[in-house]
Amino acid sequence: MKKKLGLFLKTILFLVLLGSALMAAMLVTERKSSYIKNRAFFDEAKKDHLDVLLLGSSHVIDGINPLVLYDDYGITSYNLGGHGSVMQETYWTLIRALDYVKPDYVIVDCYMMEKNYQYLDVMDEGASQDMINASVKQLHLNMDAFPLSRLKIAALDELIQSREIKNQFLCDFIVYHDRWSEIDRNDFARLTDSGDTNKLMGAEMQYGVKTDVDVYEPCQEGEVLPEHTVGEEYLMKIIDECQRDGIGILLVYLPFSAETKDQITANTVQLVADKYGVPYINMLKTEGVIDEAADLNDHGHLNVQGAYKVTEYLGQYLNENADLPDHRGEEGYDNWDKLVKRSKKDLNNMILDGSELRLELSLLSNTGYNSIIYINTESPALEDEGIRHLIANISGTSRIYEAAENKEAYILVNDVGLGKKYEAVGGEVLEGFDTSMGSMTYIPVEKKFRLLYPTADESINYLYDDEHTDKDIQILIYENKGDAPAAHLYYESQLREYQDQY
Amino acid sequence: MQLISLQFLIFLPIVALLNYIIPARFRYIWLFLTSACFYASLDVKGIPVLLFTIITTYVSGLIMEKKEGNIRKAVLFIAVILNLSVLGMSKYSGISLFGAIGISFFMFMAISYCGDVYKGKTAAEKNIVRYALFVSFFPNVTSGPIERAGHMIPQFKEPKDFDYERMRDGLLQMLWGYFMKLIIADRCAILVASIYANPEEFAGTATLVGSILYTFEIYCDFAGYSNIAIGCAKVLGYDLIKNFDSPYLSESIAEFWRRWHISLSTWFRDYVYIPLGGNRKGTVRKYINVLIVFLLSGIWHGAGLSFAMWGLLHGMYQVLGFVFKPIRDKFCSIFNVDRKSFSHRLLRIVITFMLVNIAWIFFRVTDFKAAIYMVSHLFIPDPGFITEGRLYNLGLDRPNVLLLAASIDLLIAADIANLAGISIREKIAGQGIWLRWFIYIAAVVLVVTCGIWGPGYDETGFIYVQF
Repeated sequence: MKKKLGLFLKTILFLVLLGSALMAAMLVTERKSSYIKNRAFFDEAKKDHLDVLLLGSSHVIDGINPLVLYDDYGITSYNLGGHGSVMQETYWTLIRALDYVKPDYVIVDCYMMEKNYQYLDVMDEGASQDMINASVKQLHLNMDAFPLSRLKIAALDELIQSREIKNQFLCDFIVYHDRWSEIDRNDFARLTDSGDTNKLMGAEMQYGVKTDVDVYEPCQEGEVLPEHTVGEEYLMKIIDECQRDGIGILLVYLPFSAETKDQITANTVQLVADKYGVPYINMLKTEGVIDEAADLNDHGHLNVQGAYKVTEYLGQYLNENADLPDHRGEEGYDNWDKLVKRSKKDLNNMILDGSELRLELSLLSNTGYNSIIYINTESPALEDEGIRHLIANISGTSRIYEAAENKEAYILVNDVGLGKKYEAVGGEVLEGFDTSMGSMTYIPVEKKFRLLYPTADESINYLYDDEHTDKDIQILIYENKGDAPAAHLYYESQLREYQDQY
Repeated sequence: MQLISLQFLIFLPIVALLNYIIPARFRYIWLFLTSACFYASLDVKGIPVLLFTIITTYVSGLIMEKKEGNIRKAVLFIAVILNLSVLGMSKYSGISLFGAIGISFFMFMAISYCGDVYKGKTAAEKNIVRYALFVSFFPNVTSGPIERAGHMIPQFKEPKDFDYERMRDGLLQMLWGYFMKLIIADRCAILVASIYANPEEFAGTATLVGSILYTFEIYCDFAGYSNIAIGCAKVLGYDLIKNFDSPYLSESIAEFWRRWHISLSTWFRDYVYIPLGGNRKGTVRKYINVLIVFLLSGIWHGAGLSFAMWGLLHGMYQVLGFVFKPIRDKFCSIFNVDRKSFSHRLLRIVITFMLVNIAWIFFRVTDFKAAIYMVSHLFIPDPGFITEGRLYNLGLDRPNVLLLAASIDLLIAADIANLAGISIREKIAGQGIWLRWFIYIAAVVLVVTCGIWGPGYDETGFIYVQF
C-alpha cells in the first residue's frame, strides 16, 4: 500500500513537472505580438488607470497616441485597435476589455463598417485565401494575450466558423510550436514576464511620409450604404453596450486617403450616430486636421505627425465634452510620465539621426528644434513636389517654389527659439541675422561653395566641408549660442532617393 | 481519430483506466467496444467489410474444428477466397463499397487464423466477441503489426494486471514512435515531396539525398506507427510482435526482410512461401517461390506497376544473391577477406542499404519512367545542392534540416544499440530519478514543440494506412 501511494505521488509530481515544462514551451514559442501589444493594458487595467479605450482597426493603432493624450490633456487611455479589425472584432475587443476595466469613455473608429460578412475565416465571395489567412492571423494579435475564458469562446463562435481554426485560438501552441527555430532571448524573457512590451499604451507610430496625394471620385452628398451590414449591426451593439454600462462613446472616422466606398461608409455612420444620439466626428470631412500630402504613412494610415494632429484634435474634444480627470502629476501615474519622457527622447533621437529626408522635414515642421535647411543649386529635390511641400510647411511661404522655378540655391533658417524664420533664394545674402546661436551670416558664392558662419567668427563655415561636396541637401539642427550644432545631416537627392550619407 | 491525434491522447488514458478497473474476465468486451468505436471514428463505411471478415473467418474456424477431411479444406478455401476477393476488389477494382481502412492488415490476420485452425496450430475461438477483438484490436487494426491468433487470443483470455514498469515501457515506446513519425518522417516528407515532384530539376546529388531521405521517411513513418501501436497495446497490458529490428543495418537483402515489416514477411513465409514448397523442391523452384512471394508482397501494397517492380526487385536481389554466392565466396577466399571484420560488415551494410534505397525509388514514384530517370541520375555529383544551400529552399530551413540530421543520427545510434542487444528504454529506466525524468520531459517537449503538426498537417498521413 505504502509503495502504491509512493508511486502515485511520484506520478503526480512527474505530471506536474511535465505540465510545467510544456507550459514553458508554450510561452517561449508563443508569437509575442499580442503579448507585446496588450501587456501594459492588463497592468493599467488592474490599477484602474484607464479612463478611455480606443477601439478600431489599424487606423486607430497608427492614428491615436495615448501618450499625447496624457501629455497634453492628462487623459489616460489605451489603444486597443487591431490590425484588420472589422466591427464585430472591435465589439468583442470591447467586451473582453470590459472584463478587466470600466472606462469612462470609448472612442470607436468605424472604418470597414461596410463589411457585410460574419466570419473572418469565410469573409465574402471576393476574398482570396491569402486575405482570409491574413485576417485570421491578425485576429491572433488581438486575442492571444487574453486567457481562455467563456468570453473568448463566445467571441470565437461569432468570429470564426471553422472548428479547426477556433482550436488554434483556444490553444495557440497548435500554431506557434513551429516557431521553435526562430526563438530568441526575448522569447525566453516571456517566462519571467520581462520581455519587450509596447511603450505607447498599445499604439504604434508609423514613420513613412507619403507626399503624393491619391485622388478618388467623391461620393454624392449624403450618399449612404444601400443595405444594413454586419458591421453596422455590431456598431449598434457597441453603442448599446456602452449606453447600458453608462460609458460615454464617441464615434469617429479617422482621416486617410478615402476611396469612394469609404466616404459612403463614413456618411452612413452619421445615420447610426443620429439614431442613438451619440457624437460622431467624420474626419474625412473635417478641414484642417491633417495635411494629406504630409501626414500619411501610406494610403490608409497616418504617420507620426498625422497621429499627433488627430490625437490633439480628439484630446481637445474630450477636454471640452467629456468630464475626464487630469491625471498628470497624480501619485501612481509615474509610469505614464516615464513613458512620455521616453517617447519624446526616442523622437528627439530620430530627429537628430535624420535617417530619411521626408520624415526629417515632417518632424521639423512641428517640433521645438531650430533648424537650417539648405538646398543647393540644381538639386533634384527642387523638382520634387513632396519635398517642396514639406519645406513650405516649415517656412509658411512659397519661396521654395521660387527657388525651384530657376533651380537656384535655397536656404531656410527656422529659429523656433526666437520665433523667427529667414529664407534666401539664389544669390541673396542674409547678413547678421539673429538666431539662438547668435548673429549669423549667409553668403552664397558658387554652386559648390557657400558661407554660413557666426558673424563674429568668419573662420567657421557650417555649409561647406571637403568631404560632402557632392551632397546637395544639408540640414543643421542647433540649440543655443556657443554650442556646436546638435546635428549636421547631409542628403544626396540623385534619383530622388534621399539618402543620409554623413 | 488517428494514433497521432489529440483525441487519441485523450481516448487512450480513458480506455486504459477503465480497462484496469473492469474485472479481467470482461475486459475483452470493453476493448472490443472501444476498438469498434475507434474504427468507426476512422471509417464508418468500412465496418461492414470488417464484420464480413470477422463473421466469415469465425464461422470457418468453428466448422474446420468440427469437421474433417475435404470439408475442412473446402471451408478454408472458401473463407480465404471470399476474403481475398473482397481485398482484391477493394485494392484493385476501385469499388469504394469494398474499401475499408486497414483491410490488408485485418484480413491477413483473419486469413492466418483460418490457416492456423486448419493446420491445428491454434484452436478455433468460440467466443465471437473475443475473436472480433483479435481482428479489430484498435492499436494494430489499421496498420499492423499483423498478429497471429495464437499470440493474441490467449492474452485476451487471461489479461495481465496493471504493471507500472510495463505501462512506463509502453509509454516510452509510444514516445519513440511519435519521435520517429513527427520529428523525422514528416520532416523528411517535406524535402522528399519537393524532390520527387521534379526529378529532372533535382537530378544528381539532390536525387541521392531525396532517395535516402525517403528511405528514412518510410522507415520512420511505418516503424513509428508500429512503435506507437505496440506501446499502446503494452499500456493496455498486451504484447504485440516486434515489427522492425534495425532493418537498415542488415548485411544482406535476406536479412533485411527478417528485420523489416517482420509481421508481413513472416506471414508470407508461413502462408505462401512454405505452402508453395519453400526451398524443399529444388533450387529453381526455390528461386521461383522467392520471386512469387516478393511479387505478391509488392502487389499487396497496391495495384501500380511501381509496387510490383519494387517487390520483384527485392525478389531479384535475393535470387541474384543466391546465384552469385559461390563467386562472392571465392572472391573472399582469394583476397583473404575477413568476413567478420568491421570494414567488410560495414561495406555489406552500405551495399544492402543502397539496394534497398534504389528499390524504394520505385515504391515512391507513380511514374515508372521517372523512377528509371532518378536511378540513372542518382550518382551524378552536384555538391552545390548542399554547399550552396539549395537544400534549404525545399520547404525546410537550416535549423529544421539540422534537427533532421541530428534526429537521424540519434535513430542510427538507437538502431545500433538495438542490434547490440542494448535496450535504450531499459538503460534510461535504470538511471537515477532526476536524470530519468529530465530525459522523459525533454523528449516530450522536443516531440511536441519540434514535431511537424498543426495547421495544414494531415494526421491521416501514415504511409501504410493506405495499404
